[in-house]
Amino acid sequence: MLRGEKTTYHRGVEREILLTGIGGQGIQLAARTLAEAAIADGRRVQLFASYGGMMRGGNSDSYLAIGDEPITSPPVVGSAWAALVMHHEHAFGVWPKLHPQSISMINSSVVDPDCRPMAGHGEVAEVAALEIATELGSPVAASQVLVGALVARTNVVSGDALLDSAARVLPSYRSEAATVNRLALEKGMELGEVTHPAWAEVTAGGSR
Amino acid sequence: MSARLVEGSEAFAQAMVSAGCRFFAGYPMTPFTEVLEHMAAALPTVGGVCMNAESELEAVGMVWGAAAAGTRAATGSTGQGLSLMQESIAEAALAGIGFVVLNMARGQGDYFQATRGGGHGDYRTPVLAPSGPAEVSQLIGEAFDLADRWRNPVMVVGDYYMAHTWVDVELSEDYPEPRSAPDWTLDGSTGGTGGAKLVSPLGTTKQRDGVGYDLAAHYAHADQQREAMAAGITPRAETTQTEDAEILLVAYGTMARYAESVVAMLRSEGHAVGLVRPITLWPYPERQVAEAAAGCRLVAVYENNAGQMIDDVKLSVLGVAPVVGLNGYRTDSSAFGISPDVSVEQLAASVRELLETS
Repeated sequence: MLRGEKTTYHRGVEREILLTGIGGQGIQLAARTLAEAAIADGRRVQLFASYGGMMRGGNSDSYLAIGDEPITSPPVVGSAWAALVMHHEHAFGVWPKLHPQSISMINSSVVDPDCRPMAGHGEVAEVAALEIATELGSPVAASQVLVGALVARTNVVSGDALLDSAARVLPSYRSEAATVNRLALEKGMELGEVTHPAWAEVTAGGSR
Repeated sequence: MSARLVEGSEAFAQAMVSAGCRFFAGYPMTPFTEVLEHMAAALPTVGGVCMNAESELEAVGMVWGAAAAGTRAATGSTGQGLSLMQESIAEAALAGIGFVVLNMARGQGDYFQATRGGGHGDYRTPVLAPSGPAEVSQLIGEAFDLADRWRNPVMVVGDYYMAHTWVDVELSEDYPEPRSAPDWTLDGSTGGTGGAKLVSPLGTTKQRDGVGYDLAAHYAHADQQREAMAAGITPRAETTQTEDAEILLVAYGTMARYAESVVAMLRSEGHAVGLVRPITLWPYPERQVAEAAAGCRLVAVYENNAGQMIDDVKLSVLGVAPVVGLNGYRTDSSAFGISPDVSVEQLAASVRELLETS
């Protein structure tokens, strides 16, 4: 009836992305947008959301892992290949997980200038995400700008998949936001060149 | 089939529908609520019924009725709600009624409740523990098969992490037809028709003309059934790098995912650390734990409670190696079982300390 026990040991390349901010900044939407795009690219994903029961102002964190094999990381990942920091309030949990090969995307419009990764903990990209989103007419799309900028520097997901996921991740009662969110992603993707390729050392495309 | 981003709670629901579950009842309580919501959406589309009951007592009673009438049925809750269901789970075991109970726990403080049960009488419930959404589908299917095979409630243990973790899943929208009702189940025939049956925790003999239930015979039969079930279910565990391990970690469910990462991390540093992950919590994989522990310096049980599964580990190891607990972690203010101390770094630090001091 039950299968016999099995012995397994396998770990493929996984890209862990930590997203942190406060409720209302679009952290969960940003994480879902990346996750949907990664699936469209044929990759495997795992996404754990933690938001303390508060709609606005409380902590909102997301732990996303993307890989070419089934994900082995636990829900709260131990290290971060990339960090998206929308607000400094709860970012203290992110900094210790960064390492010299990490990349941090900082929403410099909001994040306290004293709140940055420790020296030697990888590349730090400052993006005035809130100002850019406000110019597009939608301050709540700031996290989408930051996601676009991460993709510009890493290609962690393909640009086409990212833009296609903008509409798919929205609930029906928010569908009117799809256009401006897509614009925000595009604006972010114009910010910078690939400095930190996500999949340089592994074959592109999924293994399913 | 195509891959879709699915929340763990939806993976539980889809697995139940795919396994032929056509009746589900429950009362909301995080993180069980999310499963109930997904079942409420899914079951009507396949001709099933989902009930938001007035209480957990009512929910398990409804499921008892559906299962007695031959439908694959399930309920579930979180610790407190499962406490309320214990009497019915015990009585269902004595009555020979099989259904699936989801134990969507907060943390792992309900290990004893799941594996020992809080009801009355000489009963046991098989308990299956997936380590994440990816394993849910298979174990849910097996849980329904076990419930049918042994006519006994079967528990599947999840937690807040599992319910709230999204993964890409290949989902089939093509649901197989549920199995037909077994012969012993009730079909609506009433007294005098010759087709009436009795399904009761007091036995299946009708009481009439001064002939009472033979409770002794019923309980003896129930004992035989339980022993056959205990012998008939293969205890199962997954082992990771245990062959040469000096320190053996034992963890189940989500906690095992952290332990697996720590084993990989410490192995890359040259430390001989291994992991055994029980998949069946009852029957407990005593042989697998004992074999993995043989030759180890120390066995460390990593669990998100004050130390419960460590009892089963000690019973398995029987003094062959010292057993210590890595437990007693704080919970956060949500009380949903999210512990700020449950992390790869924290566990790695604890194991490094054990490597130095043991």
